[in-house]
Amino acid sequence: MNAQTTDQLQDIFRAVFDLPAGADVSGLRQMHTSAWDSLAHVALVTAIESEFCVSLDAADQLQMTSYTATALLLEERGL
Amino acid sequence: MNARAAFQVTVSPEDAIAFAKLSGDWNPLHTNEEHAARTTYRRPVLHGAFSAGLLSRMAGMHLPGEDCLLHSLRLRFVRPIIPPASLAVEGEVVADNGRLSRVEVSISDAGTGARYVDGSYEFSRHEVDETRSQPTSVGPASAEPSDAQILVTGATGGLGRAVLDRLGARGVGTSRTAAPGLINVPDLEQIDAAIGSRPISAIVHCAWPAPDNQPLTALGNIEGALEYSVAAPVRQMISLGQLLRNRGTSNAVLVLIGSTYAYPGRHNYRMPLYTLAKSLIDPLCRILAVELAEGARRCVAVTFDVIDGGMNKRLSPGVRAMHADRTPSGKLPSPAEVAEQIDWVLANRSFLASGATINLSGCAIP
Repeated sequence: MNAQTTDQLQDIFRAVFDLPAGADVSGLRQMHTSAWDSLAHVALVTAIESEFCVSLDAADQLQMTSYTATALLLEERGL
Repeated sequence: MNARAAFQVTVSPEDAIAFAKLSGDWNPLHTNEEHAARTTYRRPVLHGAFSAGLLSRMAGMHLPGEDCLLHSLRLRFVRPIIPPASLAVEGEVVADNGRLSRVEVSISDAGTGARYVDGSYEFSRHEVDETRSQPTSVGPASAEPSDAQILVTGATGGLGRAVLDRLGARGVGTSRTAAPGLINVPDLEQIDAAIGSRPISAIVHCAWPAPDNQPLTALGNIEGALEYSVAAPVRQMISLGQLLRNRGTSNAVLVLIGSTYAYPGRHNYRMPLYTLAKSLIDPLCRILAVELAEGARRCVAVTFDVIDGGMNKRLSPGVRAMHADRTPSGKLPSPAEVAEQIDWVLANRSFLASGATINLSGCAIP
């Protein structure tokens, strides 16, 4: 994943979880992030699909368990 | 004496720490993740001298074995070993003048074959005074008969091999396919005839058919699929229970390896037949525990989540990260770490430790 895509993905995470610009999101995990509920997950999926023009099916969405896992998923999709 | 010998070991980060405790070499390149992350190796490197121990094992246990007297040892480090790693250790006698013999040893990655260490040692043989009385015990303290064995099924798999490495001389591996150092048992239901006459102190059942990924409603040959994925594994577990009843020492235990796939909602039931079969372990363990108790034998099941190796070794980085995220620790256990937990279960010889399914998933969520 190139630097621009990484920045875009990090911006999405900051926007969805209402974090300040520049906040480190690399360690975000669903299990330890109280704001990461089902609605936030849907918002995350929608934002990523829109930003990167990809379609995420149910299996992909289950794989989005952290920032790292999401980034790796998008890498596997060729981003 | 055989001219060649080979064995495999799995090395975990905990092994590196154990070696540091033993040797006093706490160099941060080997023991400190933060320090190692700032080096070109990125992760802690296994002590080079750890390999000397593997050559010692080759000499003392295989080439030549019991009467070994080591004269010299040489190592050349080709590339660093970064735990966790599965190592293949191979030795060959290349010179023997009747008094002194020389063995060349290679230590390679068990999966890729990449060479880590070239080494060699020279040995002669020590003599034993047969007129003196034998020591009562030469291994770890045990209440078992000295020739009792711990059977490990599926010993060519990632977990089975790690369990066998952990048990060392206490364990005897069985495998469906012929493999060096293992007892070939093509059909586990016929295991009794294949394993010789030694008593059995425990059976660790790691063997299992490869998981499916076929929806039940799309199965073409339902009978065949159930036979392969459900009926056969259940019959094998019952056969192992019978084996323990007939050949087990007092307090012997059958350890069944369960899976969190048996838990509700796991992975949206993506491996349905595997899920179905693994879900039978919990009741089967309790039934066998009741039946085996009549002969003072036991049955315990141990459940793990995704293990970082074995049948999961081909997981993509993304899927591996997803599984790690399902655990509060954020870590997946290596086969060696799981084997350590199985050894912990084996160490509990209480009559109370029977009929239980012990969840050692680190509280992984479905």
